[in-house]
Order: sequence, then C-alpha cells, then structure tokens
Amino acid sequence: MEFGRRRQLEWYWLVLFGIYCTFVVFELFNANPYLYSHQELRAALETGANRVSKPFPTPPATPRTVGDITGFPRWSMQSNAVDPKPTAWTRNMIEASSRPVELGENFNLESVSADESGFYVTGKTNWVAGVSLEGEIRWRFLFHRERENDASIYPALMDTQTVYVVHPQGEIVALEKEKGLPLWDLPLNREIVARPFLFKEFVVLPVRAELEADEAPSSRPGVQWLYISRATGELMKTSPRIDVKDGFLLSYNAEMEQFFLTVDNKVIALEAESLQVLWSQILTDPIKGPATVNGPQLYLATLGAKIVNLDIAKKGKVVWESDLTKPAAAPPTILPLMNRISVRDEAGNISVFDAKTGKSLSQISAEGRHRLPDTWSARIKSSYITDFKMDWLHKGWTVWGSCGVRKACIFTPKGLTVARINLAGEPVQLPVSQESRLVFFVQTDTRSYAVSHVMDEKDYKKLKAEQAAAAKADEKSN
Amino acid sequence: MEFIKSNIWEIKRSGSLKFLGGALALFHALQFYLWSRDNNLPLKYAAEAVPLCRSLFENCEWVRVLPLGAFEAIYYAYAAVAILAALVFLLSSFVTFGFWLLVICWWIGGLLYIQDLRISANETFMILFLTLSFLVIPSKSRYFRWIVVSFFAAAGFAKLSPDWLSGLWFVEHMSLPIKLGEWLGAVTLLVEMIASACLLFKDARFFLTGWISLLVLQAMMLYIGEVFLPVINIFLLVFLALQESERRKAEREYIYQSFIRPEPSFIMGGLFLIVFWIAQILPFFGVTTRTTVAGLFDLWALQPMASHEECTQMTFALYKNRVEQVSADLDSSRSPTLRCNLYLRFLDLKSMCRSLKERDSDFVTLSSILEVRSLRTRETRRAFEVKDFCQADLNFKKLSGVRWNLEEDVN
Repeated sequence: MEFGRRRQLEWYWLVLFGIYCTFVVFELFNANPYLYSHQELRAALETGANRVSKPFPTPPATPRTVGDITGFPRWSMQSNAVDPKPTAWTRNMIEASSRPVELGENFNLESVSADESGFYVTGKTNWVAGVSLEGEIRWRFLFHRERENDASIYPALMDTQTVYVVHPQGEIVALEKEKGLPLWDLPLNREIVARPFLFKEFVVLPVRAELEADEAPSSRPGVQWLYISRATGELMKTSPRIDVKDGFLLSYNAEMEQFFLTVDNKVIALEAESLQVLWSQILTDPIKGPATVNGPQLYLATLGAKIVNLDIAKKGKVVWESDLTKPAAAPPTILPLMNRISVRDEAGNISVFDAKTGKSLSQISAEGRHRLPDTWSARIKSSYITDFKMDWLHKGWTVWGSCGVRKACIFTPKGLTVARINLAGEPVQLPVSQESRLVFFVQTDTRSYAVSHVMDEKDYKKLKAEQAAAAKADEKSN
Repeated sequence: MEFIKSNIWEIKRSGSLKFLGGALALFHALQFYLWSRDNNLPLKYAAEAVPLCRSLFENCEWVRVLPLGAFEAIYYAYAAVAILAALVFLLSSFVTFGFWLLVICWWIGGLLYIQDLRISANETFMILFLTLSFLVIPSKSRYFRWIVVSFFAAAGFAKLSPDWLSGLWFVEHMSLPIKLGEWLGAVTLLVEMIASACLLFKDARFFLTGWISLLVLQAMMLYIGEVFLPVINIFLLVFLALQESERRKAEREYIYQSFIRPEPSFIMGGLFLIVFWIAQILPFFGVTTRTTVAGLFDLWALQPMASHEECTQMTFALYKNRVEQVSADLDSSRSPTLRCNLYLRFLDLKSMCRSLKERDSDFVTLSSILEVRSLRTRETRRAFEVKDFCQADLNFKKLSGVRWNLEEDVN
C-alpha cells in the first residue's frame, strides 16, 4: 500500500484548515478590537452609552406622580429661615410633651430633615430613620454600601410622598414616606461631592466631573450635576462641568432663576437652566453656610466676623459690609417686611442689621454654644405688638432661636425678650409648625434625642382637661 | 456483553489505550486528592440539609437515598478503586479487571459529582466524560483524538470572552502590564483553537507543531500556578503522542485485521462529538436552562474559563419595622464564572429567605433585582425583578414571569 500518499495532505483539508484559522482570528479581533491599539479592553468595557446606570427596579410604564417639594433646609430654597406658615404665636408657650426617640446608641446622628409628615434622620452610620411627629420611629432603612473616610449619609430630601436618601459613595434611594419601602434605587457609583437637592421634578446630585480625554490628570475636575427623575429614578441629564470646589452649599432665587453656590470664600451665581456662570465674588474670609436670598439681594456671613450684602442684579457688586463682634456661627436670617437681618455669632449673641444700609441695630444676648446656631423668623400675635413696642406695619415678625440651656427664645428686633420656652433638650433643627403647636427635634443627652411639642399654655391646659375627662369616662365605662 | 467485550478487545490491542486507561484512573485519584484537600467537599455538601440541585432536576432529594455513613464509605472506596485501576492498567496486563475497576470508579465519581451543583468543575466533568467515552465508545483511538482536540478547541472557544481577552487573569497572577496580559490572552486562545486542530493532521509537521505548542502552553499554565487542568492536558498530550507513534507503526507493519472483530464503527463516537459540541455552543445562542432538553445539554457543557457576563444584584430584606439593603453575593469560593448563574442566584435567595426568617421573626420577605450585562454585546438585561421572593409558590420556572408590583402592600 502507498502509505506515503495516505500521509500526504489533501488540498481540501488545507483549505478547510485555512477557513477555520481565519474564523478563529476573526472572532479574536471581534472579541478584542483593541488588541493592536494602546487602548485597554477592560477600560473600553466600562464606557459607552449602555453603561448608564438604570434604576432598580425598572420604572413602570406609567410613571407615578410626584408631589411638591417639602422640607427645605432653612425652610426655603432662598435659605432665609422665614416661617412659611402664616401662624402668629403667643408668648405663653410651654412644652406640652416630650417623647424620647429610640434611635439606639450607635446611631451617630448628624442631620435632621423635617416637614409636616415627620422627621427624617441620617448620620455617620448607614441607617436612615423616619420618625413621626409624635416621636415614634415609623421605619428604618439600612444601606449596604460602605462609607469611605467616615462620611455621613446626606440629609434626607422630601416631597409630599417620598423621601430621597443619598449615600456619599453614589447611591440614591427613594422611599415611601409612610412605611419606608423602597420605590426605586439608583446606584451611580460616583462620589457625591456636595449636598444634593430637589429642583423641579428632579433630584440633583453633584458629582465629581470626569476629565476629558485631552485633559491632564492633575487638572481640577470640577463638578457635574446629575438630574435624576423623582418619579422614575432615571438619570435624565448631566450638566456641563461647573468649576467649583467640593462641598459647596446652595441657595436659589426663583424670580431670577439663579443658583448661588458658596464654598470657602467664594460665591458663584449660575443661571438655573444652562448653569452658565453669571458672576462670582471672592471675599476675604470663608463664608458660613449657604447664601441668604431676599429678592435681588444676597446676604453672607463670614468666619472673619463680617456680614456682606451683594446685589444680584449688579453681578454681585458689594453693597455693604458690616462687622460682627465674633465670627458668624450661622447664615443670616431675613426679618420680612422690616428689611432687617439677624445673625448669630460664635459667642451665641444675635445681631440685627438694617438690610439696606448694613447698620447694626441691636445686639441680643443669648450666650453659649448652641446645637442649633441658626435663628429663624416667625410672627407673634398682634396683641403683643404694642406691649413690646413693635411697629404694626411689621406684623409681629420676631427673631427666634436657641438661648441658654435647653431653651428657645423669642426676641423683638430691638432686642427685647418676648418669651423663653423650656425644652427637654437642645433644638437640633428648625421646628415644624403645625396648627397650634411647634414640634422640635431636640438632643437631650450626648446620644439621646426626643421630640418636643410646644403649644400655648391655655391650649395645653384645655387639652389636659379634655384628656382627664376622657380618661374618667373610660374608667366609668370599664 | 458483546459490546463490552469488543471495547475490552480494543483496549487490549493498543498500548496507548492501556496508558490512557491508567491515566484516567490516576485522574480520578487526583480528583479525590483535591476534594479531600477542600475538606472532603462531596461529604461536606452531602451532610447539609438541603442540596443545591442542578438545573435539570426540580428536586434532587433522591441523591440523599444513602445514609451519610454509607456515603462516606463509598467516598473513600473511590480513591482505593482508582489507585488500583491505575496500577492494573499501567503495570499489568489484566485489562478486563482494570476495565471493570474503572467502571466502578466512574459510577462512584458520577454519583459524588451529580449530588450537588456546587461540586461542578470543568476538570471533574472532563474526567467523567473521558472515562465514559473510554468505556463505551468504539473506535477509541480515532474518537479520542477528536475528543481531545474538541476539549482544547472548546476551551479556547470559551475564552472568546472580553473578560479573558482583557488579560486580567494574567495580570493578577504575574503582575504584567495590562496590554501584555491582553496579548497573552489572545495567544493562549489561538494556540488552543488552532494548534489543537493541527493534531488532526497526519502530516508530521502539523502534528508536531500543534503538539509542541500545546505542551508549551500547559507548561506555562503550570508555571503560573494552575495544576489540575494542565496535568490532565499533559497526560492527554502524551497519550496522543503514543497513539500517533502506534498509528505510524501500524501503517508500516500493515497490522492484520481480525475478521472476528472488524474495524469498529465511528458512528457512536461521531454522535458523542456532535452532542458535546452542541452543548458547548448553545450558551452562545442565549439558550437558558429553563427546559429539560437545555438542562440535559447543560450537564455536558464546559463551564466557561472566563466570565462572559457581569451582573449587579440589588436586594432588600423587608422586615415589619425596617428595610435593609443586603448583599446576595455568592460564596466567594465559587468559580467567578458562576457568579451570574441565574439558577444559583435563585437558590441563594431562597436559602436566604429561610435563614433570615430563622434569625428574626419580624422578617417578611426579600425583594430582589438582578441585572446581567453581556461582556460580548455590552447589552444589559434584567434577569429578574421580584418584590416578594420568599413566597412559597415562586419557583425557578416562574421567575421570569413575576414582575415588581409597587402598589402591593407587602405587609
């Protein structure tokens, strides 16, 4: 037998082998098209439109409706700490009840957000809690993701139906207000670099901007805003890069549609839709808290013991500067109708200034370091206007704030004390106004908190009498 | 019986097949050694209350028919039988005795392998598959050349994954630049797919080029630190070399063909090869193991060497007074290529339902969403989105039909 010929390779086997090799090489380059380039395959896998995060679960076909935004820090996006309710309070306010909030020893509370539905607390743990206005913990939510550098969960954001909680490592969860059940969860995996906020139908998350391909790694990246739909949790748009440092605070002027960012000693005004920088102003000292907006005027308190008024309509031109005795401990608070502002310094004292001229009008002694250094403005009943030599035109607007130990006080703009209200602890957050009572979230001890209800003494006695009568009636029926 | 006799006859007349029988028995012994090093893995899983069933079986309690003591005895007997079979094949001419020892080996190994999904490994599958083929497939010499080439080619085919071709496996093992890792990934794929095909050629240049390339590749894998699979592959390459020299010798000496035992047919071997390749290719067509037929093929498929998918799972544990985000990640000792296995994720969640309920009476249910991203197409899909995972009537088959209903009150 000619086994030599049997060993000879037939041409068709070579053709088949060639086709097979071509197929293998083709599939190899199909699977890794970057083999001959400097680009790495792994890096290429991480980019692309289909890497955009989508919320968990998939949004329903009919998006749910979202309610109005509530629970603004300092009561409004102007950050002016003016009581939004028209209620006029009496001076005979007492603490009607105080109920401890059982958060647990390990709940390292950092911030409390509040609206009429209750308090929503976050801190330096992965827990978030929803607390009713009666002090009962309605629900808790635990993030699984670790926090880096001991960062806190950001203060909760609320609308009428939903609470939005943001993890600093880049995850946002929307929870049902009543039961804390998750509505949607969006893991963005991008570090959140400043406090998020609600704006129109979005939750806005400031994240570190990504460097462009032609930018040096040492360039300052800046910040981008991610607009997340409140209804569905989908990422709707990403802003262009904003050249601002991390940790900025934000205020908003609705009439002029401008944002004001404060960070270190800089204030930047942005057009609300395009985020184009309209103007910026650099002060000599770091700014305390967000800017306070009152119409076309902007008020800033600095750690250099100054109050500064900028004119928004004139590209941030300094109108006046005034001195405090000590560095500011909180942003300025507007006193409506009377064109005045109040601000507390680090010694605890409250100064009242003429908002137009910057002239110092009065100094209110309320010494001590307070858990809540902010002052706020609310009205008292007209019957007290004459008693305390106030102007009828100013409709009883007064300065409220912590004073002494475990107290809240009411002062006239001229510095007279209208009332002192004893509380179970130090207020942590501006109170929630209800029809006939103020609800405070207070700190009673290092790691202990309570919800305090303050109401008119007369109303309180009436309520007690009714409760006693009801209890007696129950006893009789039993 | 005639069928078995003809198989034994084929082995008896070929030194390379006797060597292969001994090698397969040694592989079984090696498998036992590796299991015993992992805390006797099959016994560990057999002792657990609930087995992790393979996707083919709805319920696999039937594997627990034997008491644990009997299971242990069988497990240790497996090693003894394997070593004895190896000695018989390699050192004696009692081929029939060795054949039957190998049959016992296969049955015991198969029983240990099938009892729990967590024991799955490509090496174990290869050993059992090759042993079965050795025992029952006629025309062994021709068949084994094709099946060994198929294993190499299928392994290469499975490496056509961005996860492997990104070179990260080499970078992690050898601290190389990423681009060099990418190139090594590409080269291993080319060698496995093309060099293995060269083994089919009768031309010595092609055969030797393919053989040496594959040997060098296995040596490199051994050097990097992989042991089990390169050792198996080296033994198979040695077998192929012996078989090739036997074939050349036969062609030179015109071996007398027995008229009592005519040349064995390659039909059965061909069918085995077709089934093997269908099982390897099916996953690339997106066939998920939700039907019995797909589940049967899944038993024959090699597990991918590198992941073709990456996945993200979001799970909430709902209690009466709180909600916790929980991690539902698989056991870290499991193969990375099983991380996106839908069935394993389903089983793990069901197991978590039980354990959380035992730990806290306030526990209500789990809500979970699994998103899978194909590294090939870079497309994502939601594999499941279930609000009430712990409901009793939710099984794997119904998973895709369940939708997250936000209006339902879980409490």
